[in-house]
Amino acid sequence: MAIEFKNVSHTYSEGTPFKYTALSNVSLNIKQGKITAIIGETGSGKSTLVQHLNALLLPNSGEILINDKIIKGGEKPKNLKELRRNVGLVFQFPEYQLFEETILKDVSFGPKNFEMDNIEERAKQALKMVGLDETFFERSPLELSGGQKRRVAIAGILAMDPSVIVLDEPTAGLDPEGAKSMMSLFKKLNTEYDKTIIIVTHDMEHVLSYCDEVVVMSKGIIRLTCDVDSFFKDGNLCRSLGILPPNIVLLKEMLISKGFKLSDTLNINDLCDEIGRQVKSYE
Amino acid sequence: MSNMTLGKYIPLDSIIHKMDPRAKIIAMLLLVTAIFFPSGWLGYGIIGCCIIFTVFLAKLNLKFVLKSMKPMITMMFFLFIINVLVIKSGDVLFTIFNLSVYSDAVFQTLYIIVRLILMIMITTTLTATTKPLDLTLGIEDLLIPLKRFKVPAHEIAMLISIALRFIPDLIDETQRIMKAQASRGVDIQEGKFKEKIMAILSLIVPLFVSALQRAEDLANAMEARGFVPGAKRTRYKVLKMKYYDYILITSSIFLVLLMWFISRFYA
Amino acid sequence: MNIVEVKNLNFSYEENVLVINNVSFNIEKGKYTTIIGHNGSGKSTIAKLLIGLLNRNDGDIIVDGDLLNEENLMKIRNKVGIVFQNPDNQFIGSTVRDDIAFGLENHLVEQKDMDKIIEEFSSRVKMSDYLNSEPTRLSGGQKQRVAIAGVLAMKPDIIIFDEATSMLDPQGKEEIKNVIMNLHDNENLTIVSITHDIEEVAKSDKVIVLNKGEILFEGNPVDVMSKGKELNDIGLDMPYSMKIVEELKKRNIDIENYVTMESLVEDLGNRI
Repeated sequence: MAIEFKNVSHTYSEGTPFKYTALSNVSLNIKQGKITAIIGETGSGKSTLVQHLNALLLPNSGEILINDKIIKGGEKPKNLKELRRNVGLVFQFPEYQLFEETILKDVSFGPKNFEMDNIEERAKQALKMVGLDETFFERSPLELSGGQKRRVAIAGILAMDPSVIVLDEPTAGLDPEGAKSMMSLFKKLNTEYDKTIIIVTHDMEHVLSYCDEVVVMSKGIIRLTCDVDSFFKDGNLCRSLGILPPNIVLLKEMLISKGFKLSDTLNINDLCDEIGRQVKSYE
Repeated sequence: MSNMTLGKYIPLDSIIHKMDPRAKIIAMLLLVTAIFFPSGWLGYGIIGCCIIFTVFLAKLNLKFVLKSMKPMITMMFFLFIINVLVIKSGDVLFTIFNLSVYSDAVFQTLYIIVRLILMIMITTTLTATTKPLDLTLGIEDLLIPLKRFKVPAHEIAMLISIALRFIPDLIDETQRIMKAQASRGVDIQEGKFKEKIMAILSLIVPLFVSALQRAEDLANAMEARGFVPGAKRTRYKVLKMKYYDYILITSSIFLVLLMWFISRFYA
Repeated sequence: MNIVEVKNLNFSYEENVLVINNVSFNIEKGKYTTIIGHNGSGKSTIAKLLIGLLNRNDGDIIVDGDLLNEENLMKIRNKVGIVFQNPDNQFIGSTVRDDIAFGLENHLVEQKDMDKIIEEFSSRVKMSDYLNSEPTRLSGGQKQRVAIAGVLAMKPDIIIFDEATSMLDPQGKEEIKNVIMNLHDNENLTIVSITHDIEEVAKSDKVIVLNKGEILFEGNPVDVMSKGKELNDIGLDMPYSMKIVEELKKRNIDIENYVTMESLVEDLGNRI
């Protein structure tokens, strides 16, 4: 499944004094089967971009290709159901969308709307994927902790069996441990269940540890798309885009300035091996 | 929503915008009183001219003010139908489908419609030239004399201003939840009755939960910053009447007297 | 000198489920204390207990010599300000100016003095240019700065930051951390910051680690951060420099514990 944006523009409140262009002439390819991070400062157009992926927002001009579906600027596409099911969009703080009496019912809501079969099976399976077992099925979503609620909300999207999962700042407000286990969940969905994952995030440590590709946005345009390793190879590339590089990049820069000779690695174990070898050679 | 002009504040720099909200509220009440005198076309003509003059002073677009009438059009139409059916006095103007339309029915309806139009024009001018918060302050100050009768003027004003403050946030929240549920396949337009109920529930319940959370946070924040309901507070915004405010009130009183005079001796 | 003393504090929302279990600690005047713990460890509950938004089951909270009780509540709230997590839900006024004025009105500040105070404190958090802005026009970081100005304007001795940066983007986080650091360095205020940000902890004077409603560790950041694995076990991060130190130790390199990257690199640099 390919996702392609061709010269896509989106303007809010067109024809009023509050007119605001959130995307201008965006062209982009998102690779199937990868985890892609979309980064950029607040107001750079990230949220607007991802809402085009399941046609919640429609382009004013340009063309979007998602799987076999073509959405053209200025046209009102028909029958979006299959697209909405196939591209699961998880909003920021998704725990606020829970409303059913029981967790199982809430997770079944999506599959029901899309008139899928084996609804209960799908819901149970999705809850297990996010790490919630049978003991949770009949409980009320409102009595869970924040992190658990968020997992239920994500299960609600997984139950629709989408091939693409889009997450808008999925770790916002979680503690570091909660954030880490959330990110590992997405990695698992990607490797074990072959889902294409798109994550909007501000956290460069997460981008480095869990993502494959990076899309950098700023003021409604795409500044850069590349793979994670080449993106973080040189800290100055990040800085030129107004992004603070992750810790390992900062550490390597500081060590090199002190005279260490280091390879291109972004792996903490390899780095420590290299440091260790050099320190020992002087002992 | 963006086409709604009724109740919308238009930030412009005019003398009417600068006026004290209390003066404007009092003037509005006086003008509404003036409209209620049965002063006939002459009277309504005078009031209409005064209002148009005010709209002009406020640098507002007359079209904008008239646009606020839009939501009322259907209501006016129904009023006309009812009057035609009920009022059977005066001359028969014409007959359709065995239904005679009497002159009084037409005139009565026109009277009411003109009064309504005038009243809407007045309110629109008031809300378009006064920030919601200033209106709240004005209402609070005007209610102060009622404190003697245990009317909690300050609390009412506080309630309104907080509600106004959170309206944009709640609209954002509603849109976000609608989009989130649309991503789960909710389609408000399609589906059977039961599905529609579910669609509405999937919006209302989350909104309610988050509003409660907001209310709790807000109560904590207010209390932590020393707010005690009913306790004495000082006030940052103090309203001051200027000469033009007195001119507004005086001319409004004059207009009321004039209408009384016209309705008594001319109409 | 201790400006806050907490002794054997207990609290539960439901019967028999203690959220805070026999917690005792002191906060020194003028110092920057951080409280860390995973979500649900009771950190935010402690903040609400300290300013009397929640009532403790038993134990004592003494602020500047006064026991927190019904009688002293207002006196203590005048001394303790708090900035909450959600930037939107603590913005009460319809503009920046009105929001700062809200607290002043409650504290019966005279109307003629308010403008001066509002201007003074908004400039301290660099928000003077936004006095007439409505909250929808401000970023999260700017709203939190307004909240800080509102608290500062009431001239408290202690400010509690209850996860004040956790809902902000990186830029907003940086802004607020700088403001907090500045208050600590230049204003002689006592600061209590409830946080997840381990780099912020490293810069504080003292850290209290909470787990399941109990204090697990308490002391200066270097000592507490050196616990490394034990922190990991209760779901907390450690500073990046400590992760490197642990890895180097595994490789038989004799090295001290460092909580900042600068000090670690300084040491390593001297070895080659």
